[in-house]
Amino acid sequence: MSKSLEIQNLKINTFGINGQTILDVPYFNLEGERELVISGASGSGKTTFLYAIAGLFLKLNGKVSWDRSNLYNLASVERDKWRSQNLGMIFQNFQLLDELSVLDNILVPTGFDSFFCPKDMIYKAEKLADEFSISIHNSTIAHMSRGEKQRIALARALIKDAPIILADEPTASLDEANARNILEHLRKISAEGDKTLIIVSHDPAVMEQIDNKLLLEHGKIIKNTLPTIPNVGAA
Amino acid sequence: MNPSLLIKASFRRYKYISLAFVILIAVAAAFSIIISIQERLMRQSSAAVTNQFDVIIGASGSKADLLLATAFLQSKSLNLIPTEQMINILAEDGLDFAAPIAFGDSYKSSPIIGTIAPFIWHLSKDKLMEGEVFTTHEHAVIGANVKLKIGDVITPTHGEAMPEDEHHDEDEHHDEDEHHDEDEHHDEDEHHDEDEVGHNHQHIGSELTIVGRMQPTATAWDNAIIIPIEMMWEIHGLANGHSDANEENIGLPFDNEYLSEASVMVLKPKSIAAAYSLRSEYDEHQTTAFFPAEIMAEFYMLMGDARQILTLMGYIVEALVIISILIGISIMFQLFGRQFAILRALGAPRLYIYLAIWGYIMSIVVVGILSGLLLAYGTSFFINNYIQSRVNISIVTSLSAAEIWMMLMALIIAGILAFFAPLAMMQQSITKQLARG
Ligand SMILES: Nc1ncnc2c1ncn2[C@@H]1O[C@H](COP(=O)(O)OP(=O)(O)O)[C@@H](O)[C@H]1O
Ligand SMILES: [Mg+2]
Repeated sequence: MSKSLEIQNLKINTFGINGQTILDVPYFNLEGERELVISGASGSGKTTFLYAIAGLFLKLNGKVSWDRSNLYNLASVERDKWRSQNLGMIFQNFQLLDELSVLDNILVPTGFDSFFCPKDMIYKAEKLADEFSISIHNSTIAHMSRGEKQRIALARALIKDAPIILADEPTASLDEANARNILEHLRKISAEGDKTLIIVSHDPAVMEQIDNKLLLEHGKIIKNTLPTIPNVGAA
Repeated sequence: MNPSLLIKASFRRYKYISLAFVILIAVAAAFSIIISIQERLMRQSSAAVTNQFDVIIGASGSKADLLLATAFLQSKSLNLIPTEQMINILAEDGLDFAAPIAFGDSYKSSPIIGTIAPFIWHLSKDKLMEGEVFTTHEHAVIGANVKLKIGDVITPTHGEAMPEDEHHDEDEHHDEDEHHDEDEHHDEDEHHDEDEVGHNHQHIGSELTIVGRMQPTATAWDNAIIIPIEMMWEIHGLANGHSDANEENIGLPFDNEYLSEASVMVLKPKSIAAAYSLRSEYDEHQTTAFFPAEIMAEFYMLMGDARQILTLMGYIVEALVIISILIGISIMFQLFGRQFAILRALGAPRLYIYLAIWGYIMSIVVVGILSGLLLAYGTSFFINNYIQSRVNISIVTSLSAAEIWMMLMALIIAGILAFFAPLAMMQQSITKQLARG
């Protein structure tokens, strides 16, 4: 059973006196659905939406509930732990650690739980690198192409086999063939592992394959293929 | 959870910044350690002087000159103590010993000094490092640092110690009478200025055999060759302190009519009361008597100012280091902010991030302090060698508990500062930091 996501009265403002609202979601529900694609113009609030459901804000107005419990009710230590156990996240600008090797970058999320990196994790990282044609030898992250960085970020998101995958424009830096390959891979993993897959993208190829769509404009949902009525319960 | 990978990576990425901090901490640590070592050595050497030379009596003149001559063996033009006063002093009771001391000869860079055996036992703390104390006029005992062996035979050169290359080739073949004339001339006024040094010559026929070596005294005596005062007088053609019948005798008692003059007498009184009464009794128009501590205190008042300035500089350096560590930590926030936001976004536990930041800062501090210790030790070693070559004092460069404790304190302070750095880092917004990259 994939995870359920429910958002209520979410409002995120920029800091300052004339703080503008960058995201305003009165209600959103992803229950019983495994896949979602979020699209919208640049600056419409897609990344902010992803950060909000990943629990990355220190605090916010409203509720973000995974499996019916509000993420922001957790103490931030607990929220860190939740992320570590539940999220595989691909950032828009990859957010790789330049000073680490390719393999170490892929293995970063596994290093939080044990002192020595488990052998099977190293094996798995090498396998992922192989699948995404990432060369793990003689390469410094800083000198890599965006396409390569994109694939490393992807491998890092998948290494822990997390139940939720959040991908911010994962195909934007890839050529058509690679993009299709990556999308297929993500969807296959989601289907086989019953993982929730939320992709931010304005790539038509992505949009046409995923049924559930959310369209953002100026921080507001202007189109949603999912039911928008709150499930008030059978009172 | 193993943040060492991250610590190593941070060093690799920020090599030059890390290195700059290591150097800064090393220099600051070295500076304060050097000050501490030098200050301690000054205290020790003055303690050595005041402990080993209880009361010094000389002919009337400068106390500072007498102290320099007696404790530091710096040749000064000293007047000689009249024999009648020497007889009085030797006859005093309330003394462990009264040692007459005669300066004036040298071998290579070591001054040759004439005195009596009890003073050797006193300086060497009742136990020689090797060999034995002289039992005949032709024996000599050497200081801990003298580069001679037991059994070596030497011929003293008249005059003060000279650099090695200058005193070998002097002096052709004078006959005995000529020697005597010149010796008497020297002894009468004991002035050794530049002109007279030029007249140095070997005392042919007065050969000395090294029979013992003293323990280190932390005074210039570590570089001295000590002979029976009888021999010193004989070399200079003076009465040797014993009547013709007892000519071969050595040490106390002397036959008063045969006593010659000495430059200095060092007294070891049995009690503090005796010390004070002797000091006042012989501090009169013919003789000068004093406790070395009096002179050292004056000396210290001068040195004290220098010490205070050094200590103040030490504090300033330390303050600067703390300020720059704080600046460094804030630079680190700029440099590392995004990295740690990424790790947190990926769900890294706080302890992991904590250890990575703390570990990085502490690695820099530990490497810095250890290099500082090495740097300080090396520098002190050179400073001490220089002082040693100038003042003839044996100085052993060593780190004491004080320096180790000081560095431990620095580590603890750094540890506390570094303790707050990750806490502050944790308060930063993850999303803002992520937006930077
Ligand atoms: N930390 C921030 N401070 C101020 N404005 C921000 C911040 N983060 C994002 N924004 C603004 O919020 C809007 C939405 O940004 P984002 O979610 O990144 O859009 P998208 O991912 O759809 O391009 C943009 O106008 C952006 O400038
Ligand atoms: Mg975006």
